[in-house]
Amino acid sequence: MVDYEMIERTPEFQELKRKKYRFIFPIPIVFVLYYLLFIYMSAYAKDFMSSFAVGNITYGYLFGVSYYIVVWILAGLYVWKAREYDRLVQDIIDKYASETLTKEGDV
Amino acid sequence: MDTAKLFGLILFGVIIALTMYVTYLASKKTSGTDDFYAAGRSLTGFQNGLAISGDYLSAASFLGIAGLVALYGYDGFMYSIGWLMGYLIILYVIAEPFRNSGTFTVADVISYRLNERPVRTAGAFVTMAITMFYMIAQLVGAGAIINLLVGIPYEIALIIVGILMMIYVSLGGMLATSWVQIIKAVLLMATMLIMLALIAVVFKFDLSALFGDAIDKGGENFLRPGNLYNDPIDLLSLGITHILGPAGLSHLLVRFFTVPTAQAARSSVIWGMVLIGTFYFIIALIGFAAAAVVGPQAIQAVDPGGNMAAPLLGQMLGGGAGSFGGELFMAGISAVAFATIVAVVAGLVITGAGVFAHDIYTNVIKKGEVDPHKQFRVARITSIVIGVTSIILGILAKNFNVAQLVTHAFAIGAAANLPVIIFSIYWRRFNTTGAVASMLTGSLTTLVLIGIGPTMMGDAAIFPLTNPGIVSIPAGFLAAVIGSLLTKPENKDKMFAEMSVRSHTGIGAE
Repeated sequence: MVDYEMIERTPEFQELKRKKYRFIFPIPIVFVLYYLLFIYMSAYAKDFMSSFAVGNITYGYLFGVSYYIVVWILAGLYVWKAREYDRLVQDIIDKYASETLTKEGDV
Repeated sequence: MDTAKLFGLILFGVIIALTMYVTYLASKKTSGTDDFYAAGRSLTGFQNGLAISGDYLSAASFLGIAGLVALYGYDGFMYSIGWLMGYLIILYVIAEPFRNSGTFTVADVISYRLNERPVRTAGAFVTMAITMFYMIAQLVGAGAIINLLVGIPYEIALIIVGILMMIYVSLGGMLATSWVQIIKAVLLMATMLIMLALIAVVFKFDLSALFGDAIDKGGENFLRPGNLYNDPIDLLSLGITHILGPAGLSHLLVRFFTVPTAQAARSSVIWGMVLIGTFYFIIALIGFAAAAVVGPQAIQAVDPGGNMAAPLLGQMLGGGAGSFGGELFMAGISAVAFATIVAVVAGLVITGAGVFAHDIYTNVIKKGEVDPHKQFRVARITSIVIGVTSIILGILAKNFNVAQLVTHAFAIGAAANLPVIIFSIYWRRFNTTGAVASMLTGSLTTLVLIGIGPTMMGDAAIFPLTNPGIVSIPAGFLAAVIGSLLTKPENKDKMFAEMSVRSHTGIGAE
């Protein structure tokens, strides 16, 4: 059996959690607020959102579409950060759980 | 019957035959509960990404959002943006720990360190509520599309779809469901790209001209916010529901159990986001083009909810009503919409059936080990019950816009599932009372507010907002916090340590 409580107390695991939480909570919260800015502008800045930027294309449309770019960039950022977490996890497994596990997720 | 309708029927037939064949193959490979509920955890990240998009891009997206954009312009467009954004939350805080700490159902994750029976029971109720709203929306879309294409009455069409999905789920389980979803995702994405190319050609790659025509047909305020939601609070409520909803959808989350590792879960969200984002970018243009080419009035004349905007656009792009090309193209699009619906419905039913057979029957009633075959029998019976119930409700919901119906399912997910999923993974002090309080408060508040709101009561509504999320989502989160803090900690530190290590490292994950 794996001793989960022992692993949880190790400095390595605490470090993993600390690093991870500092990243995975603030970004979604900021992103939700940033998304609500779009809703807020649609509700209260109707003149701006329906004014034309180029030809018949409105600022509202461009602003909305810009969210695709933001969300994909943030997704890429996560993948990049997650590689670091994967390395930390592998270290923990090698150090504390290698006898019980052959590879990650394999019991 | 003319050639185009015949072509449509043949396409329907081909899709049914193909998916049935996949189901047959899957049924031969399905022996244990792992196979039936989680496709043997055999999918790759890319396959699951396709299946996620196949699961998510439902009639509500293809028919519903195109319709809302075509009828209400800007306000419909807001749906197309909002429905992707929630995936960021899934990616950052849910997908990987969820994959590592669960087995088959959402309740596996939330009951990990809480008292199993109350949590599983409440969790099953929430999942059932989400599943029913989602199902009804799909069936409304199916009825309308089959009616439009082959002239079969709406009610009969619903029954046909209902029977099909019961066959997929009960014979092939999650493996068949996944492959039906993958096939559908490929068909749907291909159709979207063809439609985009045709729109580009018709408007000579001039987006401005497309919007110009849309304004001509839809009125000068077509691109101005406020055609559908005049109340800013209602709009804000819609936005919150959209961004927090996907992370609470049970049938979407269980897809993460079909991949072997957290890394595969991560890459499946990424693939899902690429496919889903591309889809929504195009569907908004299809909606605007439908307004520009067909016109909102003509679309509404066919279906009051606007759900037939995309097929009608296809008809016009192919050469117009009555022309061979037009009828042919509409038939093709309708057949794809039909495949879309069937795939989503299969995913919903297997989730609902899984919840009943695994959570309620096996773990609450029988308290643990049950022979897989007995579980499957319960799952099959449940899928029939879900099917029959939703057919009846679908007949009653005939004229609703399907995207708005699905938004109500989002609201239940965000208010009743999301808080308990997040807190059970990340908050040590969270306990059983908090979980049950949150699930009941979140789901009941949402259901009651929909019941006394404009969706059900029209102008006589007691609650003024169409979207209850702005009230019910905070209520769900607050109930979780208050319920936990008011009652004693459960002293399950050992279990929290286990769940924490398992969810972050994958050690011990099934």
